[in-house]
Amino acid sequence: MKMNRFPIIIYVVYLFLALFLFIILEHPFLLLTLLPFVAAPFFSILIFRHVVSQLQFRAYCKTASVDMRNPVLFSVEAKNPSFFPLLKCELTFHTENIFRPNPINQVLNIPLNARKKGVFEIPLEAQLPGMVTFHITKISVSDYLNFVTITLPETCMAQIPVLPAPKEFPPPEKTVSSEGEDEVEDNSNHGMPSSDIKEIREYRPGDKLQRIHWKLSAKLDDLVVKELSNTSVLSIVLLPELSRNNITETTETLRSLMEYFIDNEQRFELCLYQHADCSFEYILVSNRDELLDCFIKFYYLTLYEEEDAALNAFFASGQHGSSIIQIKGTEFIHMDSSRTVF
Amino acid sequence: MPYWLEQIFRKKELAQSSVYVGDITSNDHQPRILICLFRGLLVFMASYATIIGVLDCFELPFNRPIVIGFLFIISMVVALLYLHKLLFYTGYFLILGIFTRQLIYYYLYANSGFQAITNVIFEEYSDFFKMDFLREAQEIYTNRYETITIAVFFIGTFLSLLLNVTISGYMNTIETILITFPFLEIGFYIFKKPPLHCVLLLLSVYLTVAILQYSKNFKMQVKSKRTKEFIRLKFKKTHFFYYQTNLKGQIRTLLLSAVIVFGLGIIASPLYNVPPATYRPNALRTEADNLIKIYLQNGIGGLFDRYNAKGGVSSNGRLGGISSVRPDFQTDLIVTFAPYSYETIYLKGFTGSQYYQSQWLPHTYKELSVADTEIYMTENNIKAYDNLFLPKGDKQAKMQIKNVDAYENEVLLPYYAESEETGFPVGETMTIGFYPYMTYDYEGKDLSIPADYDEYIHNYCLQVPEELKWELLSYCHKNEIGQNYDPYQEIPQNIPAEDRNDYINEQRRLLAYEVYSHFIKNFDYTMAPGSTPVYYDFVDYFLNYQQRGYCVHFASSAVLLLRSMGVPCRYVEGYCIPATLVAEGQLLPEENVADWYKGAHSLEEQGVVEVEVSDAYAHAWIEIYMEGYGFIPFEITPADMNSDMGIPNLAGMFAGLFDIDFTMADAPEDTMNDVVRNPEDALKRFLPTLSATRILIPLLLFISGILLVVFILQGNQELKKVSRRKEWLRKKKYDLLIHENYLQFSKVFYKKLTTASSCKNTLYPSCSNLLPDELCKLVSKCLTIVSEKKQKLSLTEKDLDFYRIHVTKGMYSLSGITINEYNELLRIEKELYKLCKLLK
Repeated sequence: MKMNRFPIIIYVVYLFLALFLFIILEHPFLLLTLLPFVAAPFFSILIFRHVVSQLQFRAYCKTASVDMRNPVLFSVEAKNPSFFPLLKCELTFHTENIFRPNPINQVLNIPLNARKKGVFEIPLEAQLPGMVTFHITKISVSDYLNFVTITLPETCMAQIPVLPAPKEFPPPEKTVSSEGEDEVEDNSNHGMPSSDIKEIREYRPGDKLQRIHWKLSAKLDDLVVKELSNTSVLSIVLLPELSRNNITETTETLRSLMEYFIDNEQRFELCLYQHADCSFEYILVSNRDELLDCFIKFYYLTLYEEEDAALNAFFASGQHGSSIIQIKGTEFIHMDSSRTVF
Repeated sequence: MPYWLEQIFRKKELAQSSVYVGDITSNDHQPRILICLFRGLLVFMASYATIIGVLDCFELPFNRPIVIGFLFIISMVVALLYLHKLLFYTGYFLILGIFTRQLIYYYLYANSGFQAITNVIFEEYSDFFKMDFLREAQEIYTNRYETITIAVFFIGTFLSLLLNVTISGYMNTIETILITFPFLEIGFYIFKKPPLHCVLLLLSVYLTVAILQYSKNFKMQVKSKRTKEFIRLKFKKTHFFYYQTNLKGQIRTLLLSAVIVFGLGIIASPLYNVPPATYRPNALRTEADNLIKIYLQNGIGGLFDRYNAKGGVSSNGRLGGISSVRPDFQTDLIVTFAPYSYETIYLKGFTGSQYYQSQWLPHTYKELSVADTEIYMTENNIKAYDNLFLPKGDKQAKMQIKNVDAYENEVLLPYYAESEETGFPVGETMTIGFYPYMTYDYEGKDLSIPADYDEYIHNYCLQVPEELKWELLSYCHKNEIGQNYDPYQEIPQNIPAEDRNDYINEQRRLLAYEVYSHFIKNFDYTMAPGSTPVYYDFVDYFLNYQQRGYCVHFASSAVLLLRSMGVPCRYVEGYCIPATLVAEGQLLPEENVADWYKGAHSLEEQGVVEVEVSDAYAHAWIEIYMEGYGFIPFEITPADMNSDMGIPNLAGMFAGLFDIDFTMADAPEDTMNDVVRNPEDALKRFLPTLSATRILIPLLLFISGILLVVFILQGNQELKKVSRRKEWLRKKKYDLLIHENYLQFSKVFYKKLTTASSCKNTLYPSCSNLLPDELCKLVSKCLTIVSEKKQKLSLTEKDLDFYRIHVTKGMYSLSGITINEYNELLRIEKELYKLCKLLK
């Protein structure tokens, strides 16, 4: 709880002036005029403390995602179940696109109506795709006469991914059969042994159950998968470069490509490069519903300055893919594992 | 913030952080009209408490229901000016125009009412301070019940306009207090209490305004195209969004304030009813009382007087620093003597010989000498020389003067007295012997005047300040004063030597009468001429600009005018005792007349009287040197024909402060004649006109105009709301629609659809988060089912797309949807409803 000195000083000056007047005028009934003003601060603080203990705040977003150029709408709920209103509540909030940190703080001064839930819609204009966050960092409430301000310990946060607008472009060549099963499935259906095991790797969501190396998984107490030499060639790997200069274009191209492949029922994996620890995460995408999750993960990646960092790291780490599409801005380069461009 | 500036900030912020916070809105729609009316209620409470408080405090008669009703209406009307920009800018002009027009038309009634109020207040104050009631304003219409009612209309309108600015405009506590509390203070000061409910009501308003001011939650921007719910303020590192106003919060604040104030007030009401103890003012209060008394006597200008003066006449000859003369009618002197004629008796105190920078200096001033001589005259020299001309004949008289409250440094002597006294302290009594000769009622003396005295008379007493010489001469020439008199002209040879003095004296006397006549014709006597501006000369300002004043003005100007024409004269201050005052004196039968008076007299009977001389009889006159007679008193001040001793009227409230006083405005002749011929019942004349055309119809037209403008400007939106309301009230979903909460409405369809289609889709476990996209997916699945059953519906995928897009737009966009889009949505939802029935 913080005492606001300036209003208190002003108030005391008022009281002294009134008292001075009383001394000049010398009549007892003028005390009646002083009484409410002397009593007002006590009532104000008393009621204030009673109300503050019951306040509830929440921040949320109504939609799961929003397309770029459409308004992003966050809602702030302020609930005051008590009988007394409070007229001054300051919410200090911070909005930013994770890709473009914003140092500016915003302060929202709202009333808290009695026995009512106030909902305040905060529309944001998001010019670029990314994860837009809305974070209430501080909630301060003042009493009626602004003598006392209490900062509540609660903070609220909401976020929404802003998806890029899809664009039209010449489609990439098909390099992977869009229909049919992969060799593992085919061979297993016909009872033939699978191809040579190229490597053992950890399980990734989307991997088929048949590929799980159950014995090794039991030993390691973690799911591992057999990567056969002929399996990996069957999926396209999309490798977006998160260079800061053209992240917007990269995101748009990524979305367009992903939607293209989905519409053409082509399997692909999204390979997300985390520059901080040079690690890769593969996400198998098979339908539009998984697009949003991909972008959510994509938006949490760290941006970097280099243009081909992801590609270089990809080959350097011995990652494999029969068909790799590097996405850099509005361009995408289709190559094989030997870096031969198609 | 102007729109163009806002766009600049927006672009800058988007470039910097790619995110820009738009216009924040709330789910609580604030009806502007109700907010204005709430503020009107605050204005009404404050104006009611102030005006009714004052009127009841002084028990003034007025028509209570009409006044309260009028105050209520005018408060609401002025508060509604903040409803729209156009109203705001034109409404004030319109109201002031109507106000001025009505005031001019009903000026006499309003003025009479105002004068009645001030008369009652002044009477109460005079009783409290035990002063004789000094000033009384003229009430042309004497029916106070009516005139006060009418005056309150105008005062109430003005007060409401001011309160509207401080409450609706700025919500400023201190300004609201300054506008309202001083009215109640008028009564509090003399321990007259307004009704308790008025005081408590006013305190409630103060507390409410203070709370709203500190919360910064009161602003309602004037309605225009760019009015928003939140005011945006941008600083370097922080941006602020202030919620403008919240009606419910304000109402509850007012209720809370009223509960606190009235609760405490009722508890403390015994304190309010305690009668004040014996009045024993402290030092501060005494100072305040003195200032109040000055104001009561002399008006506001009296507070700015540059020095104290009794009856406008100062000690030591100071001039021009008094704005108006308001005697306190308290006794300054008690004079006991035996009257001997009907002439006014002058008691001479201060004699001013030299005029220097708007002040008369006494006989001697150490730095001045007489012309080029080395003669320095002392006070005693001059008195001694003046006494050479005492008419020491067979008449002798005695006068006893007691100084009750006159200036102590002036020895007051009647004409033709000898005295060596140099001071006259308060409380002392002085007995003076004098020669009671009336002017010219004795033989002149053929004396050989000492050279220095001659020099004093014919040089010193002719001196005029260099800077005024030319002004005075040209003034005389312009006004044809003294055209036939040339001081340097030789006396005609045919006049015998023994008659030369008489000839000269006659010339001087005629010249004095010429000046006197000029004053009568062209100047006005008034006790409230206003003070002379600091950088102006007193006489010059009086003669050329002011042209109205009292004895001091006339005497000073006459001396300088006569001196410029070669007449030796002096300026004198003292007291005068006219015959009328003598007649009011107390006869002292126990006194022997012979002890007080010897010689002949011109009265039928003679006795010894004791006369109480108040400061109203302080006076200034001139003395003209008459050859053989010495300095003879001469009355140069015109008689008081139209002096206004009363309180300035409504228009002249600040009389004397800046300029001349403003007595009653020149009323239109017809109105004045009408008043004289037909002193009808003022309110009866007023009320029919009130109900007919004069006030009521313009007021009604104005209110109608406001409402019409409101409807035109807001009507489009309001009508749309009305049409939607009609449509949706039936379904009781209006609020959901207006507050863009399609979710709630869509829940209904979701439930029915899931139930009907057995679509227990795990993707939508909770209908509370159902969005238009999700609803549309569900509906398309249902449509598939329906089409398999070969049922016909006028609902297509295109409709569902339209539904999804426009519901989203209605929910989240800043522009909302148009009425046509809304109607289309309505149609689609009707079809969805049919779908539900089919699937059942």
